[in-house]
Amino acid sequence: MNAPERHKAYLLEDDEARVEYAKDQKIPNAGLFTIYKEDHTIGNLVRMQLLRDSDVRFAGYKLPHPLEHRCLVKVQTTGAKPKEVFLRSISDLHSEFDYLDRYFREEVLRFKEAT
Amino acid sequence: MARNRMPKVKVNEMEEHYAQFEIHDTDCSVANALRRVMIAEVVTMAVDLVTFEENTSVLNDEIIAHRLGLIPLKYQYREGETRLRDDIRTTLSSERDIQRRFRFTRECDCDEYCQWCAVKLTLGVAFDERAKHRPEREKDLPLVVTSNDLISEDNDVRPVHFETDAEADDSVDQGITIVKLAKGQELRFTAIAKLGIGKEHSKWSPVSKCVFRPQPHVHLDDDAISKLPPALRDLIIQACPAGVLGYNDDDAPPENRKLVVKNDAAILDFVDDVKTLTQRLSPTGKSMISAFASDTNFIFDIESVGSIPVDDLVLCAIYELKRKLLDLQLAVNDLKDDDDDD
Ligand SMILES: [Zn+2]
Repeated sequence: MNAPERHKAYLLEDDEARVEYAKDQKIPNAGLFTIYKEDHTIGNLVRMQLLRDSDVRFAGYKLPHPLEHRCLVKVQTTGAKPKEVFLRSISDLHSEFDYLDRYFREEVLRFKEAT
Repeated sequence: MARNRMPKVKVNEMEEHYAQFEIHDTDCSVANALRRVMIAEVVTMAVDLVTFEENTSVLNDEIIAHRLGLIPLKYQYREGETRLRDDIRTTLSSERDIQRRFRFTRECDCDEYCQWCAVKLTLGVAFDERAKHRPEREKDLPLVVTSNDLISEDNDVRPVHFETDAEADDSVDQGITIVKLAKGQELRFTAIAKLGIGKEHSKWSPVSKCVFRPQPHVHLDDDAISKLPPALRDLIIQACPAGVLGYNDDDAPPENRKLVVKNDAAILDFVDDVKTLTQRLSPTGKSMISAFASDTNFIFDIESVGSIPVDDLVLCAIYELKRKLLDLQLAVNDLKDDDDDD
């Protein structure tokens, strides 16, 4: 009876932002992104992409609690702004999926024509 | 390390309900994101609200409502049909994406539900009524109520039950069994199907199987193997289940045959057995096979429940991921600059 609504796992509340950012007070060039209503799907994806960036010194993510629907991504760079690096990895991922989309369509078409 | 990747796809099998394909030159996180989205975040339609008018069957209302939810509903795209919100949905992954025709009820401006966010299905079956049309010797047998008895008010959305017409002809059933009625029993209800995702309830999940595994890289020491007598080579093949290892040409004379991997997907599970065996067979004690799992290439196996053809399903998942990333990008762009001024 007191179970939380299921859509609360993936729908933002009316006054909720998708992302919050907090600069790290102790470590230079580091910050913590809190992504609301996202999980391992985005968290792991972004972390792995961040780690491919030569400007990134540290990148990690965690889901603090299974009933809290937010994902924390921590980034430390070698000098660049964490936000810029973060944006860069998102757009890299976006173009990767764009590429995958096109390639998949072509491959399926080719496969269907061949059979 | 280069930041950008350009993944390649290789389709091994592609049918409406089943597919096996490979993704090359990418990362485990991308493969896993794709898998997770296909299972839990691709939008489909399923029965969500049922109003019972009459239910004298042995199953209670809740169980029947639950069973109805699990019946896959397929959206049949028809060329040139009225589309919803073409302006913002033009980037949608596939022509057959259900979101081109329907929107979520929560995003709709109707009060409860309407033709743009829901589909009404009705069913009315009474044993005694049906008995009149049944053959004499079947009259007293229980009456099976199936998904075939569901009447959809929208021609574009129908319950699915069989993959092919041939399968339907072979089957004893008419569709997916909902309940069996006995003499005097009756079932009458109205069901409302709505859009949803598997994360909310697994009845909206479009897949019954969605897995990936790393592609194995196998190296067989052809030189060493060819020096073995044919009987011992047969022994190596028998170390794995049938069809995993085999000969490149079964008709060739034994000495010209080459040992090859027949089932790439399964070899990783048995490579240790083959390794130990070949070490024993070899005069030098050296193993004749090595295999490792790729970090960049993955094999996907997907089975659809029938609500979305597999190729569209993959495209819908890619679209959903792109939408998520875009959403995130806009949100990060909107972040105030003042907490980042070092
Ligand atoms: Zn509506």
